[in-house]
Amino acid sequence: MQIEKYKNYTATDFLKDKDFLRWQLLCGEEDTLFWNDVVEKYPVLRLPVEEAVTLYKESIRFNDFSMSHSEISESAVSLQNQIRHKKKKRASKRIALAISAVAASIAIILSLPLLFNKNDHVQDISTFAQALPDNNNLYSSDTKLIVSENNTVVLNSSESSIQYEEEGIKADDNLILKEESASYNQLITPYGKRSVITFSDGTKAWVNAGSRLVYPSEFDKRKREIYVDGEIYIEVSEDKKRPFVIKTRQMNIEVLGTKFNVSAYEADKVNSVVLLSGSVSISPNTSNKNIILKPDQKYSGFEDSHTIENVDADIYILWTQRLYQFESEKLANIVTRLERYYGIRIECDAAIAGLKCSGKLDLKDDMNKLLEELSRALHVTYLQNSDVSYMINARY
Amino acid sequence: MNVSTSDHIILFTRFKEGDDHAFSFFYEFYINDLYAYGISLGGEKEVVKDVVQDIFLNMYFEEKDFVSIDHLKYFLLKSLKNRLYNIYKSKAVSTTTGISEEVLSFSITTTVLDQIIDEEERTLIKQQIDDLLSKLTSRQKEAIYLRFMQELEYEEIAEIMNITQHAARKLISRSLKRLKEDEHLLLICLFMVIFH
Repeated sequence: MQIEKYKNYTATDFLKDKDFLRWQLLCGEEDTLFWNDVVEKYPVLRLPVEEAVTLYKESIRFNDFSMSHSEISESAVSLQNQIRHKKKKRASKRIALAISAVAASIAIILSLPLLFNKNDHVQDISTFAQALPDNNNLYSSDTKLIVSENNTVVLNSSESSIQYEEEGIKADDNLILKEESASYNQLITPYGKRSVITFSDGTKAWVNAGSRLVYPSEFDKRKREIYVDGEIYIEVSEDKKRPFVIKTRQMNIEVLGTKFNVSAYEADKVNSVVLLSGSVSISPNTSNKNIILKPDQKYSGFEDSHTIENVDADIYILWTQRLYQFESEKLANIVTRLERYYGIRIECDAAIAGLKCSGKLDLKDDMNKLLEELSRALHVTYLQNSDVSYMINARY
Repeated sequence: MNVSTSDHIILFTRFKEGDDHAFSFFYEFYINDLYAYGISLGGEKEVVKDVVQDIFLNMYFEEKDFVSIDHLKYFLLKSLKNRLYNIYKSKAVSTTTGISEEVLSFSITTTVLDQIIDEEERTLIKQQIDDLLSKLTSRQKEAIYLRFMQELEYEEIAEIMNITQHAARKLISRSLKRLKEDEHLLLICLFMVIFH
């Protein structure tokens, strides 16, 4: 094998060279050494060789036989029917032939839509939620309920109510038929809005401003899973056979039936869970140990550590009653909460961002009134730049 | 195609516990690998499809004691080959040609996808690869396919091909030698032409 002949080779030239192809096909050690030599001797060839390797990997297929999507779905349906059939045969052999024949044909009809649901569900809810396009502006003025790719319900009340019921999905004054819903739904509550959602199993969640929820329109028989980016207070209906799992970017929280508050905004550095009753098990992404929380305990998760402290849990859900109580909380954190709650932007002077404050704010108040009170108590000044933008400074 | 993302591992655990969703996930995940392998072994489309269905149907009702996702894949490929072998063996008997030919003969079909490279070049590339592959026996092709395209371990290849691990390694090193030898022969021929 002569190295010189490769001097002016391009990537496609390599792909037509048998020595190169043999190397790619069989990954022989000797060939690897040879090609290393080539590249060493002619450094200009490094790029074309690398390009040829990539091209080989991307463009050349061996025995590229595959079934079409429809063939696969058909096979999957028939497999499910075979399984169902075999199960039935195992369970009871006494069923009259006529009845089982009828049952089988019903099963075929039923299994079609079911199967498609199932295919969608195979995708893990976190994967699904994190793959969603991020074009839903949280500064938008309306709450959005996305029931399927081409059906978004816009809700313009400041506190929307969504209920998943037998006859369909009730969202404020709208009624959406279940048939119109894809297997996963999404509720986007922008800054300045809140919503209350009742899931198909009766579990109720209060959703704070600036939150995104992804959940199935109908829970699975084996588990109940929702995905949260934001803050919710949730009262989970008890169902021992179906654990309820709340997935967030930072952790998973598993419960059987209980009441607790979760704050897990993807934009925040700290996420927290506060338990009111029952018990929950938290598995942070950064650890493989589960943390069991007791009532009136607060879990705080940081980038690679966590803390647990005893708290008065009721304080953490006051926001559902439009109140906000805080104790030695940094001003910067309070401001972030107000920004979300009112859907405005507040800039906070770095000099006072770390100021620790305690107190109670009535979020039913007008924003200006609230800032007025805050600045009087904290000895700071505030300035309105525009309709939706404020600035808080130290008072000198 | 080896998988090891955390989602796959979670799904695999559920699959072993008998979860239906995880089961249909792996069904769809592997169905085309199995289909391609069956066709490559010379199986007819409908026969391969039926056999794949049957393997999954049986697996559904059985204990799933696989140690890893790769183990599952190996099990599926092996089951497919065994079943196809049994089907075609009995068929071969009925046609009684008298010659003991290989029941399943593996072949490799090359496809060059039309990304970036233009058609003329694609034909040439395919020709070169097919030329190389034509120097190999069907068993060598099968070993190469399982090793480099399905990324199985030698141990698994040996099991599937019903040979020892040593023999599996040998199949592949022989293939390499064969493709090289050929080139030397060509050089000698060239020399002879020149000196004539």
